[in-house]
Amino acid sequence: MKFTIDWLSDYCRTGLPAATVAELLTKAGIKVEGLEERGGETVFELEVTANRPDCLSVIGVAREVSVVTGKPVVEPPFKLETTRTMRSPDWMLDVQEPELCPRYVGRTVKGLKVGPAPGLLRQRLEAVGLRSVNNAVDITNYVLYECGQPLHAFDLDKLSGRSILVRRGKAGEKLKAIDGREYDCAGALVIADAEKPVAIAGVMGGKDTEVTEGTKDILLESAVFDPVAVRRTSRKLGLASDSSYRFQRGVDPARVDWASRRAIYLMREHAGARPDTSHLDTRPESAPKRQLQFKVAAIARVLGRDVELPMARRILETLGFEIREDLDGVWRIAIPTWRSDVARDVDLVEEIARVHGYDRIPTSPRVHIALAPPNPADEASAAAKDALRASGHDEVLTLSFTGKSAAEAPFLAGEPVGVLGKTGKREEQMRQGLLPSLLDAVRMHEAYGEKGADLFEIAKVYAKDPRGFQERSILGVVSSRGFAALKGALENVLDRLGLLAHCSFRPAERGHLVPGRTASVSIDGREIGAIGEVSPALAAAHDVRTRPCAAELDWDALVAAAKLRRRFGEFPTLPAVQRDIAVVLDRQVAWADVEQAVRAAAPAGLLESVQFFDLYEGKGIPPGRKSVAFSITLRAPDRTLTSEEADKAVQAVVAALSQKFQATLRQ
Amino acid sequence: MSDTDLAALQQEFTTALAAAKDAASAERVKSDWLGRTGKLRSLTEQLGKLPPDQKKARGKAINDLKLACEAAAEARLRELSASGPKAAPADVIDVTLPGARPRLGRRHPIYATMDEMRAIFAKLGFEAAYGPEIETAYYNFVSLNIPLDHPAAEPFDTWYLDDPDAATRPYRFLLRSHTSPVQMHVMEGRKPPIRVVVPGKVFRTDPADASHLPVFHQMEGLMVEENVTFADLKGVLSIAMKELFGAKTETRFRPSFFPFTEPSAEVDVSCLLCGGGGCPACKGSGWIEVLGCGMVHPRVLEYAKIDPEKYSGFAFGMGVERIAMLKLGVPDIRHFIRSHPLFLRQW
Repeated sequence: MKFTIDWLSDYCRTGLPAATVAELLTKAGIKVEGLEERGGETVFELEVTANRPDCLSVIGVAREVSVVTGKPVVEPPFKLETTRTMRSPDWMLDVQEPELCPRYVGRTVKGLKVGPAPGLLRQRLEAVGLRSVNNAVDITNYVLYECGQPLHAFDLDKLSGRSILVRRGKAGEKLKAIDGREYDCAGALVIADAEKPVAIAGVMGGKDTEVTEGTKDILLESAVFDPVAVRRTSRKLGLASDSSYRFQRGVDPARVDWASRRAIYLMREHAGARPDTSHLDTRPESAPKRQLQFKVAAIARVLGRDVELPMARRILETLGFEIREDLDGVWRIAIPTWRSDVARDVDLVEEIARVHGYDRIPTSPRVHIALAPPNPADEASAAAKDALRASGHDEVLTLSFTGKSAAEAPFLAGEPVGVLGKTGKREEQMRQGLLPSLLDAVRMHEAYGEKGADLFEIAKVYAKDPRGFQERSILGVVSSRGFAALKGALENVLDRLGLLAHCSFRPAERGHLVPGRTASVSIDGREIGAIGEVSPALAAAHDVRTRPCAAELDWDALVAAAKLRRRFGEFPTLPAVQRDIAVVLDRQVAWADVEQAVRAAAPAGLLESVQFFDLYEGKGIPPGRKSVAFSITLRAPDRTLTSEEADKAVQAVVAALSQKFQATLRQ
Repeated sequence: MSDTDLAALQQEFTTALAAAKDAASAERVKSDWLGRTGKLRSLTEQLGKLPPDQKKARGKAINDLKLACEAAAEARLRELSASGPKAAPADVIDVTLPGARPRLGRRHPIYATMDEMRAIFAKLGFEAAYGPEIETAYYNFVSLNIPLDHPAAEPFDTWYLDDPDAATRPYRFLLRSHTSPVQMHVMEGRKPPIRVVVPGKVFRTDPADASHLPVFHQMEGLMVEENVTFADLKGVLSIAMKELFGAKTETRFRPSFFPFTEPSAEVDVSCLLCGGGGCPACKGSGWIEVLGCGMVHPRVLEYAKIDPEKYSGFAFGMGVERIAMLKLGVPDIRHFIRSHPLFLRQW
């Protein structure tokens, strides 16, 4: 909302510099966003919040200026002599949708001389940001900005049947609006003449009935339209205007007839209109003001301090509230017609507080101390991220949209979730896995000369399945250092989460990972994700030239399973014996099976750990075979083991491996 | 042999010991003299050939010499082991070469900022709570006193889900456009006293530019207890802002409007760069807007089935990206999501 300070001074003359007025308004919650010099005029730009449509007019702002400066509001003086010139209307009004149009005031004025508007009007409207059209149209806009009531002038002679109908648009009905574009009126509330729509109610008038140079007689509309209906139509048509903006927020019912008379007065003064006028009003009687029982104790209860009652009363009264009765601390208050936002005690408390000054409310933290127990998800994520960073992975933040039209490398099963943008069309799709986003991040690294990247993110992925829309947090990691390095990083994460002993990796297949170089990851037998080498096709789809490995794990499942609390465990003090063993066996024998056999074969109660340390294939090893080296640690709880005992254990292990896998001891 | 011989021997030992330039050679000297077959040992063996009247004095002199030599050897060894042996020329290293640093991963500044904010409020008794990102219009709007089809919903440019069943549902599904819906979930799930902060992702249909992203992060705060007042709100946030931006930070509360709070305020902090004097960063005002807050609207409490006559509360919300940009001096919000290696490694 923009207007010149000179215009504002017409209604409240403060004698204060514009910057001071701006500061006082801002402090009271009417935020002045900018003060601008334009053509020798100072222009105010206000940010008016949705609850204060009354401040979408210069008079409305003048009321606020009056409250913060103590200077009076002066309403524009004018007199429309209607009694002498009143005649019965030679036109017809029929509001068929009274719910959507609770009041319609039509006024005619004749013998207009259409031409340029007076200079001051034009200047003021141009400062607002409006283009001057002609004196009649400019006057309707001027009054709209002056008091907030939208007006529309029809060329009376162009209204078929000299009729105004307020009805719903019929199927197939179209209107060419004054912006020159054609709009579909079906279902929308329209103003129609005897034949066709002539305006989209509360939004915009039609081209065919607008005021032009040849216009002599005018029918001026000043009405109230249902905010929701105007909003829906405006959104549906993608058409907004100063009028629709105000109707959506609510207009002051007390200004409807005032604005109509004010505009007709100005047309007589500035457009040569004849003094005779006729008018029809569907609801001439004014509704009583809304009333509220205000418990003044609420002031201290909400703010934490008292405002002296005479002060509170003065503030409310200067804002236009009438305190009609005071009964034991309960004020019966009549709410001004322009303040439809005020409905409860707290609204009045806010009025008092903002004018009195938020800075006068003490800054007193007298809240009692309280515990803030840590959130398990936060603790788990701190531990996991710590482990990933320690193994050289940078944390990234990527958008939750895929940028692709089809589901790609989904982690979560189901259909992709699409989202509708401002236009109501499907504009984006939510990601079903983190891998595509991470690969884009890898490409970014490659583009800046990095040979791949080690990155991770914990974020949500989304899908739609038969149960409905789903979302799940997952941990995604991508690594440039090969499968073993990535698996090691994951094992460190699982270790920090207390889950290392609960997890297992098994050969698995995933569409977006290379078969034979992919494993599922399970916790206590329940699969929670996968790790593997990214398929060439997926890497290529993201312009990734290196061959990263990637892992995605169900983070919600990890948080639920995590065992973060530690307790002391008794540890052995007697020395252990460690033996290294290297065996040659078939390539396809999995280490996990070897380890299991070793554990089964070693003497009960003595085997402390089995530690893989080398894998070798090539020279000296027959084709199709591999050498696997590992060490076993033996320890007895109650004595030092002899080397004979250790030798026997090694023999038992080798014998078992030989028997089970045809393994031979590598010398 | 006379005592002068012993003095000469001691001199000879001292010279040999001084000539030893590392611990190994000193050990060698020590064993050559004091070992089982060392020179001093042979002196003791010669004792037996002496007449008994000389034996005692000579024995004591030899023993003294041995003790003195042993002490000298130990001292020299200690001296040498303190500095260590000098490496052979081939083993000298270039100590100015860079260290073999294990790659240390970095925290993302947004998550780091969020952690910092959460920790500050944890100290004030606010625990973290989380909620869904896919929400219904009920939680995102209606229960927060934002009527659908009302201009108050306009600032929340919302992504609605593409949902063929939308018409059959009481409330449409959407991506939450603020973290405030979690307020409602928390209040529905427990009775006051409540003190929570809600960090998380939010979604708006804003196209990406230097200060907007369609997906960004907020942190919401909520306190509902008996007798909570606006003065408490001011107190808690003033302390939190000092923790977040520095002990000298001043806080200013300006009246504003949010449908879910009444009275509502926007909070400015004294400019981080100029301290309040006015500079380009604060457009000369000395103040920077950082958050919105207010007393929880009684209507919102009623939606949560909490009696507004008995309980009151305050709520606040801030943009994590905005705070991070201010604190870290990041000029363009898009840096956060680009995964540029040189950006990620600054933190």
